[in-house]
Amino acid sequence: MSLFSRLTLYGEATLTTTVLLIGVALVTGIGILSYTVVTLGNYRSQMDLVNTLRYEAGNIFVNTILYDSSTSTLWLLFKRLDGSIGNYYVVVESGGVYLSCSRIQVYNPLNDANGVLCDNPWECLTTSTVYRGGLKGVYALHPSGVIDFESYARAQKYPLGSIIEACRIPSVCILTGKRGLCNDNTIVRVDLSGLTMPVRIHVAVEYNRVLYVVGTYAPL
Amino acid sequence: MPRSRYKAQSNVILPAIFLAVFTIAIAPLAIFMIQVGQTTPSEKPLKPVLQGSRFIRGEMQGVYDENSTGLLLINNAGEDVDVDRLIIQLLCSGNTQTIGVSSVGRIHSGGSVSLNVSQYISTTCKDPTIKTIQVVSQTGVVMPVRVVSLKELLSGSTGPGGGTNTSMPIASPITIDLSSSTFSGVLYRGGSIVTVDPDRGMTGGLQPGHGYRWVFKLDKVFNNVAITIWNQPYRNIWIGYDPRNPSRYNILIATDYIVITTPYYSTGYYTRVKIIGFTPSTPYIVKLGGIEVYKPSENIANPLFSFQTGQLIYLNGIAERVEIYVRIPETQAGGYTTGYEPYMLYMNTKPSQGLKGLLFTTIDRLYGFLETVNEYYRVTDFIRYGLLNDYSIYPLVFIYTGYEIRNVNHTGVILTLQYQFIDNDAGDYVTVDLPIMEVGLVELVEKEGEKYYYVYSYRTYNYVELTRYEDIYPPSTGIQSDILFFPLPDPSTGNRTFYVYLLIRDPYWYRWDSPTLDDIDIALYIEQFTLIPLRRLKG
Repeated sequence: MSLFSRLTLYGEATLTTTVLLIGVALVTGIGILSYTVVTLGNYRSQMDLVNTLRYEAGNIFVNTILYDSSTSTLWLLFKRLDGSIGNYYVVVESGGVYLSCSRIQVYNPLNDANGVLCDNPWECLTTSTVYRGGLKGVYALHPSGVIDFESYARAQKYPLGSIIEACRIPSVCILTGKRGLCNDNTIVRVDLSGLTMPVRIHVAVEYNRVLYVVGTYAPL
Repeated sequence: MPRSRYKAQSNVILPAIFLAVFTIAIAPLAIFMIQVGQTTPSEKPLKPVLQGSRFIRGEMQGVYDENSTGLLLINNAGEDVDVDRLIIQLLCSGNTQTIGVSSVGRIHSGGSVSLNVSQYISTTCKDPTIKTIQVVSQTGVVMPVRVVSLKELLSGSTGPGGGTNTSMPIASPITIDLSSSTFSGVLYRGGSIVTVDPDRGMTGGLQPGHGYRWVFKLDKVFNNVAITIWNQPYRNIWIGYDPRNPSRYNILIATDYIVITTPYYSTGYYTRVKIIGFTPSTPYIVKLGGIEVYKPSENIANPLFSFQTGQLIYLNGIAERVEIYVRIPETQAGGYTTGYEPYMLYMNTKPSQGLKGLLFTTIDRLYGFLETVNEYYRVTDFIRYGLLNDYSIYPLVFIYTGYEIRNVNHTGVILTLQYQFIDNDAGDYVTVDLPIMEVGLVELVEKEGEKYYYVYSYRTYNYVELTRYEDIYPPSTGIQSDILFFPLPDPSTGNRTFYVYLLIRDPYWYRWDSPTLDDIDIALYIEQFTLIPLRRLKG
């Protein structure tokens, strides 16, 4: 072999090795990058979820207006402190029984002509069921993270029914068509006839079509 | 070709290829990764959205007249309330009905609204009586209303006028102005209240000090003056809105000594400086310990006992009137008693018009404990420093002559009041529970051309009751309110005239056998006082 050919071969080998090494480095690098991006993405959506839930936990509040023992009717107030308009989601439980949404009604002041609350059926709308099924189909925000509602209920010593119903309560500003910030209070009527204490209102937030319970109120 | 030349070429080409690949492929990915890392949210602490929610400390009160279905709602919550809806639960011959009234709007602190409930009661509700009323505020606060039913009051009352008349429409409520000229300041002596000698005014009510008797004397008055107090130590300060003009402030400062820069004034005695109608030249009202105070506290206890942390006061502005009271020995003062003026300040904690709150305070320096003298904390010095312990020889009585209550025209009177209280006793313990405030009716009796006022009926507010809602670690007090009903005697007992009265006193000096006990000084603030006369229907 001439000296020239030997030198050419030497150069090719170095080039091939380098290209191979770069290839390996690229594949490894892209792999690590993809892994990091996916991990960060997951972490990010998880953080977004937790932050949204934590924000809404402080943003939504429920207050008891009154309980009428003669008619077993509980009147509640729902409000978002930041004035945003949105639906409220609740799972209501009374004396160990998870209530059907037909027992929960929202007061629409637009349809009330005489001031007597819910004396006509059109003044108080029955809330719609957005989830009906086992406890594991709904999640809950727990200090340790997001867990399924069954584990949450077990941890908090809440009753473990077989079926729960999550109900959508439209904000009063949706009912009255009010635009802009909503400072009005949404009044909700819960029929507790035939049921016993304690009453718990589990307030949920919808995120990517999944319900997360962010707070529990015990008005009675 | 030399061998070294190929090597040199490959040394250049290879890094160039590497750089090209890196620039095209890796660098954008790396930048993307950095960006993703930077925009990924971290777990945020709970945002202070809860600041939007409000606490309301006082209460709402209501008077309901079944006959006229008139409801009077009085806001004693301690702040303006924007009512979103009143939720009224009615009892209709066995059934209940819930009604919502949305037309109420804003009720100012201390103000009231009256509405007729009948328009909301449906025809299906027979014999309606109010079971409960809840006020739902715009902010989402639900406040139960303490409702007084006239029917129940009168049927259940054992007073002389009770149950004799069933028709009592409510007259408009009258907000009693404690600073108006219709009030005569009088002192209570023995069993009757006597009008004070107008020349002496309200002097002679309090006796300050024990051991040595040192009294407050008005040493200096400045009118329409520019005032600067430049970083002087102070013990206690009360700041309120001037009731006559809420853009100005009324201030009371209690201090051990003071040097006022403009107009120049200096004293080494214990001092009280009253600044009336103060307009600050600074964006803030005063600076206390370097902190700028922009509005009066709603809580009269808020800036108290600050000298325990060694704070200084700075203020600069124009005042309508400055009164300086100094604590001097009785031998120099020419008497051993002090009037009520150094201890009183008309002020509001809210800028709302129409209310004239009254502050009465005998607190000068410090709080104390069971084993210490309250105005000073070393027991060995109690004689010297106990000289700041004040007590009332005669209580101060306000008789409101602006509205004459006659048993031939009225069946009764409802009084509502809102007040705050704090004392300087860190133990909150007394050996004898004594009355501090009294509210009720006096009857006017004229004998041989002289007017005498005899106490007809009253309710006392004793120390133990008042101190339940206050503390001094840190100084804080709750807004308290009350609603009182006084039935009047039947007209068959004669044509009789009554007036509303309010009595205040600091009943505590110290216990002779144990001077560190019951050595309490107090601060009482009456924010609102309303009279609701109940008219008697003729025939």
